[in-house]
Amino acid sequence: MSDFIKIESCLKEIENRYLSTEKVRKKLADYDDTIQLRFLDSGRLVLFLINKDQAIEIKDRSGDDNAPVKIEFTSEQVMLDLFNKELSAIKAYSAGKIKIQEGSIRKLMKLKSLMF
Amino acid sequence: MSDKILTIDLSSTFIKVALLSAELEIERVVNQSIDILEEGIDGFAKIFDMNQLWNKICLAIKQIILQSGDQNLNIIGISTCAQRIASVFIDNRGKEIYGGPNIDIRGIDSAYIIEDEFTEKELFNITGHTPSLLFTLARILWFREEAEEKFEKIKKILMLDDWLIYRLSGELVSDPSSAAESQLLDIKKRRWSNEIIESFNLDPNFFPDIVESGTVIGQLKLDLIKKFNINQDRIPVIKTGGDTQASLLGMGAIKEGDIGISLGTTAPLQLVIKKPLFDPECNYWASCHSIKGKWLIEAHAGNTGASYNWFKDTFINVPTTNKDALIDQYLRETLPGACSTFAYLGPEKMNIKNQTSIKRGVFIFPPPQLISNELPKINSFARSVIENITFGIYENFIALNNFIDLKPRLFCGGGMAKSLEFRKILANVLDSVVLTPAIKESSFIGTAMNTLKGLGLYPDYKSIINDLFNYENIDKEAQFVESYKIIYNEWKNIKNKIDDL
Repeated sequence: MSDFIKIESCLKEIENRYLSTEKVRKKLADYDDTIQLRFLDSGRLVLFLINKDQAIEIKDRSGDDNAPVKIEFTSEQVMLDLFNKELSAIKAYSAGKIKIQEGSIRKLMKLKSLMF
Repeated sequence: MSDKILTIDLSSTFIKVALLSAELEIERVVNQSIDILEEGIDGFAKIFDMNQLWNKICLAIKQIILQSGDQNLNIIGISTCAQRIASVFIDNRGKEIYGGPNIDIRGIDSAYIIEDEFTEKELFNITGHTPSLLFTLARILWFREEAEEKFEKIKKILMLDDWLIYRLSGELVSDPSSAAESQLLDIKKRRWSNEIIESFNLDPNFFPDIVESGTVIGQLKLDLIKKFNINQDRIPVIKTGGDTQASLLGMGAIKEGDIGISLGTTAPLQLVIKKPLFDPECNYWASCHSIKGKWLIEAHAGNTGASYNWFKDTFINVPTTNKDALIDQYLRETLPGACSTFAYLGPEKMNIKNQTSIKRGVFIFPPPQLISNELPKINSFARSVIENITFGIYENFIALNNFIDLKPRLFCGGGMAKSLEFRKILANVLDSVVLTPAIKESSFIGTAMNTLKGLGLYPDYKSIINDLFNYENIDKEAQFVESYKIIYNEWKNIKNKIDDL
């Protein structure tokens, strides 16, 4: 049975990972860039505001054209499949189901434990 | 006595074992596939099954000895090379704790530690390599962060060729061509970087002594001589190192200004230079050649052989025992531009540190329409794939030319170099003579050259090339050079439009 059936539950999991995992916060200790997720099927936008290892704020259905990191999912189902471990991040990336629109590889590497 | 050289090449896809004569003629080859396993669901961490890998290597050696059926067989030396970037960690009993291929990117989880200590430029100016997630340094830090129990057991850090040499001889050594691909080597000094080792508080004893390629490092273990059914008491083991550096030797790319293209699954282009140079943009890698006093700048054209093989296996469905020959026929039947058919399968200018998305594969071609009078056939699509590969190589060739004032000599070797038609297109697209040794299996040849040099049978690589190499030179054809300038621009203009797909 799938644990994640709505995007909201994935966003909650991301918040949990940040708050409850010291290693994740350590990796983000100097990270203060805004991250925007876009789901192409629904047009839904989500913003992550990370204040280094101090705090995370997730704004569902909010966008920021100037976000320095922008990640696109072809559908909301892709994110659900990732969180339900029915799809690997590498396979999703290779198949074009996840696309990085903005952001350097150095910034993106730090997000792996938070997102995937 | 029948003097032979045994060479082992652990490439990206195969364990390849060959018996060569002392005149560098390849007499017999045995291949075994290399299996790569995924560790975990996310797909980032990949490993070898090290026991299986070793067993397959032993099996391939036993097969080749058996198949030779030569009662007078006298193996004068064993030399090896291996895929770069791959590394193996062993414990104090020599048992493998971890063995990871060149596509293991577990370092994505630990690269942040590296960034806290070094800027990209600082690290690049020591090691010549980026991004960190690919390399051994990030893998070591991953084990320290994510698998502490295993990390505590690590006794030695080896590159894949170092490990193979260790299993054959019991000796723990590395060489500059292997170690250069770890992001732990000070490229200028050809020594492990104390600065990096100290910055991350790593045990300096993790790292084996470095010898130059072509050094006899020991003898094949006696139990292995017995296991392989070889009727000899002693067989010297000679270090080579990275497979592409071995391939350069096997092409004869040893002089400053030489550019060698190793045409395997991918196509690294490497420019030979006399002193280390670091790309100010931190894109093109700086590495060590197998030759003391020679360095390399590398521009990588991406998955060239992989694209060719994918096309061959997916689209060539006619009954034939030789699909490569059929594709050569297609190339002879078609003209530059492939009936306005363009392929975009990956080969392009190296831009590894900014590679944040995998581009979609695309064919652009004239579709069937009422006004169409000429439609592409399978031979046009085949040509478009080859042209895509050569355009990718061309972009990197131009980039490398910017690092030197000399007009380069261009060499190629490896699987695709066997195609005469491919080499003709390559010469025309690159507007250059293409030099190819008669024997195209350049990594075997380069590796075997180290046996000849290590045993003192030749004083240097140049003498071996002068004595034993024959070249096939493909010259450019003026009319096609001009056509290809226009066709490349057309291909590139479309590429710029579709890259964002």
